[in-house]
Amino acid sequence: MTECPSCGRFVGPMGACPHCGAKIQRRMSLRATKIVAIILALGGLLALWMAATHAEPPTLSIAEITSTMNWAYVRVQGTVTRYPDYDTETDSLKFWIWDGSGDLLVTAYRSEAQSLRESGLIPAIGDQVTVEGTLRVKEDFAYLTINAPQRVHLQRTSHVEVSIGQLGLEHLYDKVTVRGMVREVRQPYTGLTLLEVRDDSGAVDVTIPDDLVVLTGEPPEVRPGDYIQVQGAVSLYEDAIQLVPDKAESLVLLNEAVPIAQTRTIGSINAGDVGQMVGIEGRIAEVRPFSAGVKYTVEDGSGQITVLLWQDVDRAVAGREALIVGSEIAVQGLVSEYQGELEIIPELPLDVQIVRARELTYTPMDIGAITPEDVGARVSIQGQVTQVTPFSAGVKYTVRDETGEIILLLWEDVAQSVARREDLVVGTEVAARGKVSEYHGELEVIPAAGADVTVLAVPTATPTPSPMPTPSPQPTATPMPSPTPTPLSTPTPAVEVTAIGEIGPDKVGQRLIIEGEITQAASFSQGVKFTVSDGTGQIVLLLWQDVYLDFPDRADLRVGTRVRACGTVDEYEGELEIIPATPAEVIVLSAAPAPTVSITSIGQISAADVGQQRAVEGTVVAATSFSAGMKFTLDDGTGQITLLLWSNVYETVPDRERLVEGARVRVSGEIDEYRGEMEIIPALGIDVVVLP
Amino acid sequence: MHPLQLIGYALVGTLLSAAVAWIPALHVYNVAGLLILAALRWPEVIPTDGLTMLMLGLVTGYATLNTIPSVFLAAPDESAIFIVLPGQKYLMQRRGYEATVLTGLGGLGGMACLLALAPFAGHVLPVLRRILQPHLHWILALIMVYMLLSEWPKGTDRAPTPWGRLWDGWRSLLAGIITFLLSGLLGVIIMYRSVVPLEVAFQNLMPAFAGLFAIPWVLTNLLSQAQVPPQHVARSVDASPALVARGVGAGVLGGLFAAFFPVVTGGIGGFLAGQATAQRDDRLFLLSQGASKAVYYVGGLLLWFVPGLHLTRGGMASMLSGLYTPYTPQTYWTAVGAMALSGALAFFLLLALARGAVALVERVDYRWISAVTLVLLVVLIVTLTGWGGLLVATAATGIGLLPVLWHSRRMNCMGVLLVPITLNMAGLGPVIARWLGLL
Repeated sequence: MTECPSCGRFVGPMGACPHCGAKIQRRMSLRATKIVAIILALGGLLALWMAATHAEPPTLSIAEITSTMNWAYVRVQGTVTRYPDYDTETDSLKFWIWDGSGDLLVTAYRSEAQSLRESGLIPAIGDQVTVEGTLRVKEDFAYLTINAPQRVHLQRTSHVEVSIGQLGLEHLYDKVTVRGMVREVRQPYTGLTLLEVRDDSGAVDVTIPDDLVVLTGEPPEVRPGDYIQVQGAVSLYEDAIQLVPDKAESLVLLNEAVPIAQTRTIGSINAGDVGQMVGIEGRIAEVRPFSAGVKYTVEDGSGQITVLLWQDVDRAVAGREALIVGSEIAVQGLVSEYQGELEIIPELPLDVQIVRARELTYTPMDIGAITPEDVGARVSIQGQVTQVTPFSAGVKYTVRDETGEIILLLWEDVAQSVARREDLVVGTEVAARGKVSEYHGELEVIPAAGADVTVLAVPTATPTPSPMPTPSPQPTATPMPSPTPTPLSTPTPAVEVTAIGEIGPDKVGQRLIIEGEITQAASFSQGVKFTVSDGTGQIVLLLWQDVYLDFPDRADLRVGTRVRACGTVDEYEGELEIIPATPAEVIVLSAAPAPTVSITSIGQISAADVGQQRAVEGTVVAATSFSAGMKFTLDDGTGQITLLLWSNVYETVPDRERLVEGARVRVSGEIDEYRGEMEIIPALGIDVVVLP
Repeated sequence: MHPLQLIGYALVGTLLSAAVAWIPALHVYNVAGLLILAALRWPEVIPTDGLTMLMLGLVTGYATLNTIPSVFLAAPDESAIFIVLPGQKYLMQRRGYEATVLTGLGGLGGMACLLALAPFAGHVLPVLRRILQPHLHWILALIMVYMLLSEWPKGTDRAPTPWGRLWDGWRSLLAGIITFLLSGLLGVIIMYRSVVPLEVAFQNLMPAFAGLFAIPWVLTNLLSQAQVPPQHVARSVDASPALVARGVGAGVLGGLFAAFFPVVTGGIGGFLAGQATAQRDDRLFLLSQGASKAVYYVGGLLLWFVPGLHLTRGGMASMLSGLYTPYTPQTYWTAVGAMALSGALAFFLLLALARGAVALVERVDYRWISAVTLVLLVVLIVTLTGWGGLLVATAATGIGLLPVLWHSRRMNCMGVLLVPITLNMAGLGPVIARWLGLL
């Protein structure tokens, strides 16, 4: 009906005439259609809901997934192949599974990810998982989103105890337990820590991704030399087998030692052992320094073998001065072969243990008694250092006693390993033994190892130049026959300090000794410059990076410290500098007291502070490297600031291996602004203190 | 493949759209789904980049040419005379051809705007996306609320009692809200546990859309008592350049909104833009709907090509993303060029086909065409998505008929996407699905 039966006007679908209000009889067809529509809508939805809830999701192999399956709800089973990646910002969890036919990324977001965490359903590598979710398929990539955490089923297999050498590709994703010694701890990049763990069968990298820490907590802190047990799964990085702990608790520090090498007699070691880790014990028969380290010939009665210590290892051996002929040592290292000769190469300083140090006895002979006929002979000398002359391959010390003087030549590697090397300065009383040699008509004594040189007494610091320091009591010296004593030249004061005010451009090239107080410190790309003042003037004391790094008390090199330095005068851009060649040429006469710092809240630092010195304390929340150094983001609860460490400064930060995310640090430095971000830039490594 | 070859594929797609776009209720995505399945079955026939451009041409053509069935093959029944859209009003006034041309002009203007905006898309849109991404859930929720609240009562205020008048006014509003909720429920079910076969899961939404929009359309046609009067082919359109600019401007605004925001369709975008720009003129409505539709369909697909953005918006990008990834700026500019040429071709095809439609409605009863279409739709649904798909379409048809029969907005059926996706973005989708026993 479209017209009103009462007034005859158009009414359309209305139940009552809009013009006169008469009740309109509706058309049956429309009413029936409405009823059918409601039945279809409600009945259809009910049927659809029942069909949906009663159907089991199809189980697929990963290879079966095709692009037309986008948005399908499916079930997939497989083995977890990578440690789950947890993004704390988006609260999302991702992990990869492999079912033999292919890999699939599985994701869970927000409440689902949270629920998986809370219910302990975060899988680890090697776990068998069954997941249900919605497939998303891209051109060359597919992933599955978990919608129902309760539909995630984990099957964790038990761990099998294996030796590291047994680990191979056939164990990929297997759960294993290994025990061994931590050989190295390194962080190839922020977010991943690698522990090299070794037992007597081999070595493997244990990877600790940051996600593991986020998801399961902090594993115990380990250092090289610690013995640990790891329960985890075998994974592969490029071609290298690795081990990933299941969780933080899967890494346990052990109290008992785990042997990392089989102890052998030297005679039993042969070419078949090349590449193997072995342990030996024997007596040092010969010490042969070379450009990159030292070779020790060790014998045990069954044979002899070369133990090669690369320079960095050799320098760091505990009690290294006892590494001399006659000492007994225990060594473990990899067997190698070089030019037909077998060698044992310890990887770490702790692989070399001094079992029994040979007692050093000095029976010095008169220096004046040493003649060209003694070239090649081993002699002992004792005297006072009167001159220090660094050269490209080491340092020459002129040593004088009452009968004459001679050159004591220390090659660089030997000089590095001398105990109290920093005390080897003009005026020091020293005892040494070595082979006599002749160079350009001049006699030299050349010790083979740092242990052959002993500092007997150091000169007492005096503000004014003094002649030879009074020798300390000396060990009883057995006089040697002196066929042809070398006559002494006119004695000259051994320590002659030059007033800084007297140093002018005419002194460039000369070696001088200065004394004064550090008034300023600044690093530059190649090292550190200290401004030293003695009341008569000031000069730059320039320490190249290697010299600064080797200086044992560099924490004392700060403003206010009194120093004595010997070096060559140079001029750079109109500024006079004195440049010591070795750390031994710088002596701290009196260290300035540790500065008291007033900590500024990071939130208070603003652009108005640019150029000012400030000290802040905070936690490292991010660390990134860039071409010229490292940047750390510090947070103290009031705000964040970038700690910028240029490479040369970063290298000298004490305990810098602890300068990682989570560490608490105290920093003093100059405030700067870069692209709107506030930065604090310490001048020296010692301005950064990693707090316990 | 050479860009000229790719553009060739796009033009073929446009011609193909001319063959299917005049069929009422047959959506381009249904045809695209069939073509994609065929292309995957016989990959040697057409490479994926060619298929992608073919689809771009198909969508561009469809965005222009689907005006013909919506104007000529959807004659309003007299019972719906108070709520007919301007296109149908024009048809009953013998001005169907003019309505078609006005809509086509809007579409052409929309595509011209897309061409003008193309150089800036790569710079502006990624930034815009980063800004908006965290806020999408509440923006979509606001759109839903606005859609529901902005519907006005359609009662006569003549019922004898206050309750009667209240019921009279609220009847259509209630129908709109129920439509929205039921379609939302349908969306949650099919998004979490679809009953369509696994192998065609990417066509998951197709039966739902066919049921919500296409089948009620043809059913309405079949029930309609209206007679289409003879149509007049005008030589001019009743629109000044300023009016065209206003209509296109509003349409582009709505189309861009719809293209950029997930779930928001051209209809919703046009509706929002129309209200935002306070349109009342029927000509403005036709122009803006044409522009909005073109920008939504074509612009939404172009977003997928934008280097550095690759935004998957709309059904076509979603289907194609499983097959192909456009990485290079060259591909983007080829797509922009293909869009422009296809758009121009589609407009001229529209003029020719509209004349054909005028002749057709004079000779063939559009109810017959609708009956054939209904059969075609059912066959397509069963072929593509099986009996599970038919079950979805049946439920969806019931829901889609509610706004038609109770005169509320059909746009409320978009709850099928708006509800589950907004819930997902708010992190509540799986929770609701679990309550429903779907997970």
